[in-house]
Amino acid sequence: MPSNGLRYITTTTFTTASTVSVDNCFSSTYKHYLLRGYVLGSTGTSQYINLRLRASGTDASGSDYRRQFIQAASTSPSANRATTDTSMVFGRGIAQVATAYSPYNELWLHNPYDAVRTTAAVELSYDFTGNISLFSEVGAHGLTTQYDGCTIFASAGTITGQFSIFGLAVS
Amino acid sequence: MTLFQALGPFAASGSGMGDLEFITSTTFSAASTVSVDNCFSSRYTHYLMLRDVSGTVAQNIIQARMRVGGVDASAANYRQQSLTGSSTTVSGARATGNTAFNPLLGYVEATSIGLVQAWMSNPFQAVPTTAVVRHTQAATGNIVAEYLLLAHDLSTSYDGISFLVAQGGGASTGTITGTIYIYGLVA
Repeated sequence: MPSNGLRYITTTTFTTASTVSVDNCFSSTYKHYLLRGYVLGSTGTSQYINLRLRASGTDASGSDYRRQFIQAASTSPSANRATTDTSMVFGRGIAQVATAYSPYNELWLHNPYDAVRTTAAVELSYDFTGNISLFSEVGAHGLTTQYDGCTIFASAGTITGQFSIFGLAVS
Repeated sequence: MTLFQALGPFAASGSGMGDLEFITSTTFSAASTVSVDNCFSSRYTHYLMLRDVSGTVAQNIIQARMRVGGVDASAANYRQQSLTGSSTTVSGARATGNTAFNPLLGYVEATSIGLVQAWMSNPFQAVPTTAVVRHTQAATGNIVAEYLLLAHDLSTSYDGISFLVAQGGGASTGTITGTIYIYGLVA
């Protein structure tokens, strides 16, 4: 008999925060997680919103994050790779404006709580004020550590927004 | 169907009571072929497949063939178009006349389980089956992003699927160990 496959874990809401940490959101109950919501930065579209894995209240901030992205802005697709970053991408900042934009922001995390390398996939849009651009990225964390939480933060300025974490059932 | 179209309603509601249902999982060890029967039905149109799989030979790939009544569809009716990002290079490739989705569940790694998200549409409906795949590898070293659109040309109703280990970029063809999960979106 089929069961509910996408299960709600928690939601975090924040305003003009420098960092937002969520503890105990990853567990042995799930292996695959979906983070959905929106994050507005304070400094503009070039601002990255980053994510670090977290265990027992401490961020994993070593140079163990690797990422490859493809983006398309108008007629120009481009790509790039980084292999020794200290975080992965969660989103791209959109300057807080009077009119509330709702950027599309989707992050999948695979196996953060398992003692294997965590992988991630991100899809997001940015440049909502007039233009629109596509950004898609895959990432991996080089350590085989169990992580029970995550922290998101802006590369500069503060962040305002809300995101929810879902787990995919494995039985 | 994109991930956005598939999952937008769940995030919007925030209730967690979405209509993505867990259908089945299959766990295997040292297998070269894994078949899953009766996983597709009229209850769903769109399916999500995830995997926690490692293998004995790095760079092997996991192909897939549609299946009905316990028999694989192995004729040259599979087509695909890829989009790959590798460092600063964006490239694409098309293949037609394949005898399997090549790959459907990504690359095999000896030391990790990688990332694969495969959405499949209409396998049970009597129209061509299509799929969207995003995958990468987690092993140390470089990282590559690959996106695939795949199609099977026949308008056949399939109730199952087989996963096959193939050499891909590997030195030989090995075996795989792990679990494959299949979910369905209730229309």
